[in-house]
Amino acid sequence: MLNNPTPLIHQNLRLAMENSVEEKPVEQKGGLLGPRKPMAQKQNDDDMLNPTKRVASYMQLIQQKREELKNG
Amino acid sequence: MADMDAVPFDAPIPGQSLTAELGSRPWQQPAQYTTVEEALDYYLPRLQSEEVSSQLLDVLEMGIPVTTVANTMQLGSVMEGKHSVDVGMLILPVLVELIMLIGDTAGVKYTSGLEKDADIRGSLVDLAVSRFKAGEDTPEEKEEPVEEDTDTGGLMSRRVK
Repeated sequence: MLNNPTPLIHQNLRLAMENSVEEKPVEQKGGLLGPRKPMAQKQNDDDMLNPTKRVASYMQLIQQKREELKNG
Repeated sequence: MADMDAVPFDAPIPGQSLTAELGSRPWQQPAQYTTVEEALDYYLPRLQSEEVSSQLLDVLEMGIPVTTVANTMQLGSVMEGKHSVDVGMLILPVLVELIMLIGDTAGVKYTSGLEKDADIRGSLVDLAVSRFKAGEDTPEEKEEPVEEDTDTGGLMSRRVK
């Protein structure tokens, strides 16, 4: 029986963060019939609606702080 | 399949949930904080307060894993009706990182509780594979076939000289 799911959740989120591909910024082409927002930006907006992605970003932020603290 | 490791006496009695009126418990009411951000806003000042942080550091120095502390904290808040179980599960990794940050800042040596599961890759199959590799679940030894006695010693059979 799984009493404490914390290690599993932490591990899954960390792996998801490692596997996520960093997107390059896309140049906006300003044609009249072009999309108002580039698709990459739309994707990012959708990501921010996902609570898991938001939690991953908070986790990453705190991990960076910890790394900074370790490195002095 | 029944879990053989589970303690059979550490479970609620059937019907125990019906012994109190529905809605009389805090966790049966709508949660106070419904989003991850609201829940973290609840935890952050508490963890940063001197009283809680000193107690937290004491607990960490005692060797209790960070994961256990984080899980206990969120479970307590669920029971108080502060947030739902779902939000609790979502904020668990952030709580773990926060507690580790507090420990690092104070220079306390702590057990994270994540070391054991370094090889776990998520699914239960992977968990079973990692356990098998670690030697926890050794495969059952194959029974050696017992040589059957071919000598059928009936009353009418020939005697072996």
